[in-house]
Amino acid sequence: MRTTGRASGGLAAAASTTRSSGAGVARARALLDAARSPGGASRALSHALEVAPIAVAAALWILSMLAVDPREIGDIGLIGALPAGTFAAFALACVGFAIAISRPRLSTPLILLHVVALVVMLYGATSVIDKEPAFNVVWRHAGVVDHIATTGDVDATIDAYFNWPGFFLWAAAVSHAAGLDSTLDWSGWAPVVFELSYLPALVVIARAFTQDQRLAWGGVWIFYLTNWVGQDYFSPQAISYLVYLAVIAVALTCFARRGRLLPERWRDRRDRLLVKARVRAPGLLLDPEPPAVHPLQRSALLLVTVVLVGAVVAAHQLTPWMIFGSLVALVLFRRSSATGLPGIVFLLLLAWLSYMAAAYLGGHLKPMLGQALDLNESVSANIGSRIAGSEGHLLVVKLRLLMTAIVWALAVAGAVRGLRRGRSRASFAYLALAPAAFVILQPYGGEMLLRVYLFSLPFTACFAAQALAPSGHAWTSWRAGLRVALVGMVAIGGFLYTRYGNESATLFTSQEVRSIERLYDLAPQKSLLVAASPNLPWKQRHYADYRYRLLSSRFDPGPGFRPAVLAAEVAAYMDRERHRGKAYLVLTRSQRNYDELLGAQPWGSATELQRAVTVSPRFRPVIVNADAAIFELRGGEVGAR
Amino acid sequence: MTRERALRPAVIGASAAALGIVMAVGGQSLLRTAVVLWFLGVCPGLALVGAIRLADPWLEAALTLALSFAITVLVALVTAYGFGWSPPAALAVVVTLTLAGGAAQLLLPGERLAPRSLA
Repeated sequence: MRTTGRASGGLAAAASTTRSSGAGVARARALLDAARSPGGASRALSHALEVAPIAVAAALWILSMLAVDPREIGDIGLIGALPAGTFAAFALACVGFAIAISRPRLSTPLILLHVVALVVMLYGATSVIDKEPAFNVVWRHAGVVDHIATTGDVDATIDAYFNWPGFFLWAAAVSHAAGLDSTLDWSGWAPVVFELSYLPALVVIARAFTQDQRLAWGGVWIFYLTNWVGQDYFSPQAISYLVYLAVIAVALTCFARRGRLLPERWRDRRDRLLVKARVRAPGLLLDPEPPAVHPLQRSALLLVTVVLVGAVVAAHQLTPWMIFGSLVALVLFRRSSATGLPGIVFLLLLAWLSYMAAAYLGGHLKPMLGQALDLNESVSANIGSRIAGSEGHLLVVKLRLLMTAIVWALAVAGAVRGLRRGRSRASFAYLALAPAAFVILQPYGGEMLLRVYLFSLPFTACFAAQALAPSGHAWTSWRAGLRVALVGMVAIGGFLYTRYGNESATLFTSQEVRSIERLYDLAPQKSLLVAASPNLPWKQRHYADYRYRLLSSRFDPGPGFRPAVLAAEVAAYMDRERHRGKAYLVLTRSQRNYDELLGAQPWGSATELQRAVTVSPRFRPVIVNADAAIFELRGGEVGAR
Repeated sequence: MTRERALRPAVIGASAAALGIVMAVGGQSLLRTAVVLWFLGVCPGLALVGAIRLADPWLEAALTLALSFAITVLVALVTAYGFGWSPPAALAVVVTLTLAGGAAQLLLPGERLAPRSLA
C-alpha cells in the first residue's frame, strides 16, 4: 500500500493536471491515490477503481458494436459506421492501460486484463457485427476442410492448399471431434483467439528485449495497436505465426548468445565512430546476459523446435522460410547458440518441397523464379497496384503506408535511443530486418510487404516502445500516463482505418450466403461457376465438385473489346470453359462493393456486367434478389448431371 | 509429490475425461466445441512441455499452444498420407500421446532447471 505522502503527492499532481488539457488520466490516478491512503476507502475499492475503466470500456464496446449496421459501412471501412460509444470505449481502454502501467507497483494481472480486453475490442469487432463469417478466403478454407473431411482426399493436384494441408487436416480433426459440419461454425472469433494465442510468446520476446517490465508490456501493447495487416483470420498463416513466435521466443531466450561478430580492433573503431556521431554513449554496449539453460532442457527445446518447424513446413508456404531467415540471421551474427538449427529447418523445407509439394512446384517454379530478385515487379505488386480504388479506399491505403512508416521510424528512433543509453539489442534489429530480404526474393502475390511488416512487428514494436517510453522511473508520473493514453488513442484511430478499411467488401449478408447455397442445390456437379471477382462467400462446400472461374483473373477479351458487347464476350468465354456442361454467372453485392472499393476490371465492373447480362438473350436469371443475381448460360449444354 | 507436479497431469486427465464425455454424448453444442478446442489446443503441448520443466510460465504457455497445434498436425499428416485420413484414429493417437506425456510427468524429477526469469 502506498504512503499518505505519496497519496497527497498524487493528489497534488492530479490537481495540477486538472487544469491541463489531459486531465483524465491524472484525475483517475488521483482518485486511486486517495483510495489507497490510510484515511481512504479499502484496498478492494482501489482495485475496483483500477478495473473500472476497462470494465466500462468493454461494456460500452459491446453495446456499440451491437448497434452497428453493416450496410452503413462505406469505402473508408468500419470506422464510418461506428457509433460514438465505440470511440469512448477505446479512449477509456487507453486511460485504463495508462493507469495500470503507471501504477507505482506494477501488477501483472491488471496489465494482462487490460491487454486481453484491448485485443478483444480491437480484433473482435467484425465477430460481433457479422451475421455471417467475413472474408471470402475464410469460406474457401472452410471448403478445403470440408473436402478433406468428406472425401478423406488430400489430392495435391487440386490446388496449392492441398500441397500444404497441415492446417486443414488440423481443422478437419477439430471439426470432427466437435461434431460440426463446417469450420464456419467455429471460426467466427478466430482473429481474437489467434491474437490472444500470440500473447505468451510476445511477452517472452518483449522480456528478452528489456528487464523493464513496463517497457516490455509497452512493446506488447504497441504490437496489438499496430498489427493492422489482418492475417489472423481462420487461415494457415494465422496459426503458423503462433509457431513462428514460439520458435523465436525460444531462440531469443534459451538459445541466446552474446557473440561478437567483429574483431576487437574493428569493434573499438566502430564504437569510437558511434560515440563521435552521438549515437551512443561511451562505454560497453550491453546485451542482456543469456539465461543458463540445462543441457537436457536445451536438447529437449531443440527437439521441440524441430517438431514445431516440421508442422509449419506442412502448413504454410511462407512462414517456415521466415523462420529459416530469422534463425540464419541470428546464427550468422552469432546471436544464437543453436547453429545447426537453420540447417535442419532448410532440410525439412527441402524435403517437403521435393516430395509433398512437388505437384504445385512443377507448375509454378518457373514463374516464381522469374519473379525472384525482380525489385520492379515486387514494388509494383506490393505498393503500386495497391494504390488504387475509390477516394475513401485511397485514404485507407495511404494511412496503411503511413502507419507502417511510423512504426519503422519509431523503431529506428528506439534503437538509437537504446544505443545512446548503452543498451544494444542487436538480435532484435537482425530479426526486424531479416524478413525484409523476402521482399526482393518474392512478391508473394503482392502481399510480401504486408507479411514483412507482420513478421518484423514483434521486434519493431519493442523498439517503438523504447522510443516512446519515459526514461527511468518517470513511468509513474502523470505525464507518462498521459503520454501512454494519447499514444494509444492515436494508434487506435489509425488502426480502425487500416485494419477495417475494406469491410464494405469483406462482410457478407445472409441473403448472399443463402443465394450461393441455393445455387449449389440447383447446379449439377461439374458445372462451371463464374464470378466477376474472388469476393463472394462460396466454395465452403463442393470445393472440387464444380469448376470455379474468376473473370478478374481469367477473362481477357483482348484489344478489340467494346463494353457494348460485354455480355456476349462473357458468354463466349463461359462457352469455351464449360465443356458442354451447365454454366452459371454469380454476381453479388460484395462483388459490386469490391469493384467500387478497389476499382473495376479492365473490361468493366460487376454492376455493369449485371446490367448487361440482365438484358442479354444468352443469360437466364435463376436467382435474383437485392444482394445476389445468378444467371444460367443458355444453350450448348448436354446435361452434365 | 508436490502439488505443482501433479497439476498438469490432473488438468490433462480431467480434460481427456471431459473430451470423452462430450464425444460420448454427441450432438453439436458450444460446450463440446469448447472442450475439443481446449483439449486439442492446449493439452498435447501441456503434456510434453511440462516435462521440460521450464521455469518461465510465459515461455511454457507459448510452447504449449504452438506444440499442441504441431502435434495434432503431425499426427494428422501421418494418418492422411500413411494410412488414409481417419479423424477418429488421429484423435485417438493424439489423446494417447497426451495421456502418456501427462503420466510421464509424474515420473520425472520435480525441480525446475532454469532460472525463473529469462529476461
